[in-house]
Amino acid sequence: MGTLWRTRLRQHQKQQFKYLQLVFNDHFVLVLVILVGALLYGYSQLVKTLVPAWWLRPLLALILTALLSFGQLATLVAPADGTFLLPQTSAFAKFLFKARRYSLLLPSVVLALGALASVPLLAVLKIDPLSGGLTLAAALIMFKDSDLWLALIRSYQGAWPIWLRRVSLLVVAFVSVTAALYWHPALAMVVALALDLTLRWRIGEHFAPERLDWLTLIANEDKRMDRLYRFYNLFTDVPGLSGGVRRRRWLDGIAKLIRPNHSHTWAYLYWRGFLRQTTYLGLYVRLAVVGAAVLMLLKTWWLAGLVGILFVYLVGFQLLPLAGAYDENVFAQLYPVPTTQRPRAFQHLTGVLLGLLAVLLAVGPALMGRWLIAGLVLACGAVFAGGFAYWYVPWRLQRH
Amino acid sequence: MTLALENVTGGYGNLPVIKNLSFEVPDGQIVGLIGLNGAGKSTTIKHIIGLLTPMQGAIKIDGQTLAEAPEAYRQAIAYVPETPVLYPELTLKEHLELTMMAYDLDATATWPRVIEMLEQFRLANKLDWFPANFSKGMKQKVMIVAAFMTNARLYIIDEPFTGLDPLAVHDLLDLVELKKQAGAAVLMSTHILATAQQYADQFVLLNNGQVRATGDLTSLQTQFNLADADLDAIYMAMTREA
Repeated sequence: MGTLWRTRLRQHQKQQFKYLQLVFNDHFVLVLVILVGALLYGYSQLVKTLVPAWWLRPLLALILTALLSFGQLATLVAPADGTFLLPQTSAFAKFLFKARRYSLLLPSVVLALGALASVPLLAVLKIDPLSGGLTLAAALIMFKDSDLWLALIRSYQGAWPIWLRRVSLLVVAFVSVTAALYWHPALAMVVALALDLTLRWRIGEHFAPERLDWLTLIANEDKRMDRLYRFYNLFTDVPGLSGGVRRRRWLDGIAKLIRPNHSHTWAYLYWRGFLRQTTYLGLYVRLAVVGAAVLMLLKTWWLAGLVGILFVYLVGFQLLPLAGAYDENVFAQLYPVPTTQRPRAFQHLTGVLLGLLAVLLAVGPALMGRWLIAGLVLACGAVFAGGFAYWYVPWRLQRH
Repeated sequence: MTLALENVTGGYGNLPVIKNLSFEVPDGQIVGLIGLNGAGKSTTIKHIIGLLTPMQGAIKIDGQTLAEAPEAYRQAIAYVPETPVLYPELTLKEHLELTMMAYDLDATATWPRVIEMLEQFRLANKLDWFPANFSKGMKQKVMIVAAFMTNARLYIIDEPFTGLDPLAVHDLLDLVELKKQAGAAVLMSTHILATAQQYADQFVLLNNGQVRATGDLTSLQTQFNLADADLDAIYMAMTREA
């Protein structure tokens, strides 16, 4: 089982590395560096103005608890395991324990970074930053350890008490971290340690081989990988991933705006693709909201303009795969429709969506009463959107 | 003369799969395209609908090639593929509406005909569903309705009977018969020889990418020296030749 785990892990890592290389391509790294820089700058400005108000402690605890919910049990179980490894079920626990330990790695890094980021806030709350940050990090990682034990035990069938679940753990973590921020961070660590030790002490006897629920185990891992690939799919083409489709009946009003006549054949198809494929609309809305939120915080006019353009670019870039979404469909090539209609329909879609995005981004600063910045974001975004849709997109479509 | 293939050689990349094919599908006739797996039936169809370009020879509909009159050529063809091809994000109603838009059909005139076909295929109550989640046979019916709502001059039907229930097979044959009487040409590839023999007016027998024989049943019987033989016996005789 040890060897099996090692080969599985190697394969998995090789594949993830391949995708990560594609995700963190040159443009994206640049965009990310600027974005992280802007965020850190905004954060440092924000911290200076903060006073220990009543909501600061629960808010920080909430953010840390949210970070705690990041990361799941990665079992790397393949669907065929349920058939081929069925006779090895007893030995398989060893594989799962290794998987659990591996799953702890990435969340630990994230939680440590989270604790590091909260150090300036600890200072605001008059807690010793060094010891406070360290204790907080240790507590969070121990909570995560318990979380993963819970996830593992859930793959074994059994009459678990109703409170023995993730939500309860997160509630306990939230309460103890809030309390710790009032009194002393060591409190959270004591709670986490007690929880983790109790769990480990009591849990061992439940890993009975005959109770391993292969189907749930496989289904969960499938779901996890699917989410991961869907994330990669935002940046690059993941073979074999057919992004999901939702009916979204409430959006039919928008879809019906396209007149059903011969000259709108491709527009009809592209707009419905955008509205109903899970990848596009969700991404558009998320980036619009995040962008508007970031712009709310920015007071520097040139930085705001730059960030506005950045978000328009990001969304525009993510829309590009939609252009080729129907290449696999024979009928897309058989329709008696002029060949120029298709690229034009896509350009129009990109133009409209990015123009609208510029407006949405400008709402952020407008809400804060910074009309000048709002106007600037709108102007920069709209000009960039026009350039992207009517200059870059045709060039790009021709090249591919 | 609706569809004419003149010495067509073609295939994928540089490898010819079909060699020097010549046959015709006249107006008001059903032509059965018959051959073993790998004989080149689907490749021939891909050339006719314009997914592949011939290396040599010409394919003409009403005397014009795809390059000469792309839109008229495409407008003339309705195609039912072997495996249903659907848009995952369109409902049944939207698939049909899109086809009407693409073929520039008048919606008010076409919908009654479409509804009639949908009722025949027991799909009329599923207009708001995603056909991508239908069973194979139901998907095939969607493809049939989309193809037969058009006013195409040439219907190309690739292996239409696989996955259809017997009732639907009869309904499809009725639709084909109606189009034939209206003067359209129909090219149908199939392995179901008994049905082909019963409904097709002429046959094109493909073997190793070449036309082995064409003509109606009587003509085939003479060509193979098999008096009174049915299509099945002729087909078996052809496979033994190679």
